[in-house]
Amino acid sequence: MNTIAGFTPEDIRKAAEEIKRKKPDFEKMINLYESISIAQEKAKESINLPEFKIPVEKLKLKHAEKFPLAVIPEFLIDYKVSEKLFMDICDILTNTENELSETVKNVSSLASEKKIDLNRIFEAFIKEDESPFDEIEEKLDIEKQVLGFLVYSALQPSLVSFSEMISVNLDKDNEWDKGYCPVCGSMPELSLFEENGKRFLICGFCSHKWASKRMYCPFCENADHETLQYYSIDDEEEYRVDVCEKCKKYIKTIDIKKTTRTIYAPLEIRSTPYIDIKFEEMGYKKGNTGID
Amino acid sequence: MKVTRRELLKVAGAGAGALALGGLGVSYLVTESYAKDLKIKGAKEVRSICPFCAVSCRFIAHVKGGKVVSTEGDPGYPISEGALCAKGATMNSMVNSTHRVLKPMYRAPFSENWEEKSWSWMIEKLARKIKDTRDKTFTVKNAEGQVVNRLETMFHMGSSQMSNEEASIVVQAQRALGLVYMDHQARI
Repeated sequence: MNTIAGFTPEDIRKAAEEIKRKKPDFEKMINLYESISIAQEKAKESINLPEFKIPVEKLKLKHAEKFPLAVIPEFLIDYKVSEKLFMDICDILTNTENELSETVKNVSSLASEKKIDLNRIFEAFIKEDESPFDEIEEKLDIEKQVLGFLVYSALQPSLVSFSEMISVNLDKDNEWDKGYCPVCGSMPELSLFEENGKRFLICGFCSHKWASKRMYCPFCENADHETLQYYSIDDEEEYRVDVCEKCKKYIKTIDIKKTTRTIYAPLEIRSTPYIDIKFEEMGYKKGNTGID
Repeated sequence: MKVTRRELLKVAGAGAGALALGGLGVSYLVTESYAKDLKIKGAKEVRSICPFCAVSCRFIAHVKGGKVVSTEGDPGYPISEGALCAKGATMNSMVNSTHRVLKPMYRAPFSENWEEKSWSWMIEKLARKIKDTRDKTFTVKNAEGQVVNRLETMFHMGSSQMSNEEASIVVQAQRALGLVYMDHQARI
């Protein structure tokens, strides 16, 4: 079943509607993510990435030796598309009532006036150089976190396209038995049970989806069933939270056999913040927070 | 929240959501009250093996409070890849069925009632019946006068819930008695 790639705006709308119907209190938030996701899927169609110059043999060797195919600073991005998407996302957040609208409005005008150099912060984000973000926070009073969110959201179609492009070098016949993403090395954000209970993990950074071992903790690779546990959630039968008592981390899992809803992973990841609160209160840590 | 170096990618990644960004249209109180009302039940997944036939498909038992609550095929088992046959799919009801016999039960000839008996009583009774039947009906020679030493009045039904070693001992014991009719439960 499709859960991450190739979603049309109609599919995303349908997935969002179903969540909103179930959780009306989150309507405004889902509306925002829905609009952002649609803008991202549309932007993805016009992504044009430069040539990735690492030889295929090297990629295959890296994969065979259990290294991710690329590290984040190697990711290529389409600056033009990301810049337009950045401004579109700013519009989405500015034109609706939410906690960020004022800040985002400010970011948007600073970017239009070239006081924020978008290409520079895009590059800095990919190269993991946070100094431009610190500088903007200090001088222009824009929270680093908010700018980071906008930048990541604008780069997301490039990151996903790049990941799809190089993932053809993965050995799809053999299960990747590591907990980190075979493409970029980040930790998974969501776990899915699909047909016949087969487990897949979705990368928290490049959204790559890979087949995984069913019974193990992707964060510490613990496979001892005595120290692995899961919690099912009443009224949300398709959801469960897998926890590891060894490393005290958790990951949300959706069993798609238990629902007829359209499952669009990016929306699912973001529409369940109460699960995060609950499990953090119980003493567990979110397994993925991007990269470790 | 203080954002430190290299933390930016973490908070900005796919998981960055309303919580990190101050709500995005949902107040923290609403999210928190959802969290408070969340009813969760802990369970464990334990891997086991289907006892019904020699393919020995692996399955996953979901265990809550020490009790099996559901079972499913194990997708990690290369033979069946998570699929189960009609018998294997009923594993949960085999474990939890109210009809499951947990103690030796005896129904006397012509009686309508089953009685619970101890294992020692039951083994004694079985041994007596086997010995009497064998003594009465053992065939030393066939119609042509050839020595056959066989017991044709008893039938042994094997069980796929036995291990290979148990099955081997059972077959040797039956052969020693002279049994020729034996079959396996998985074939019926």
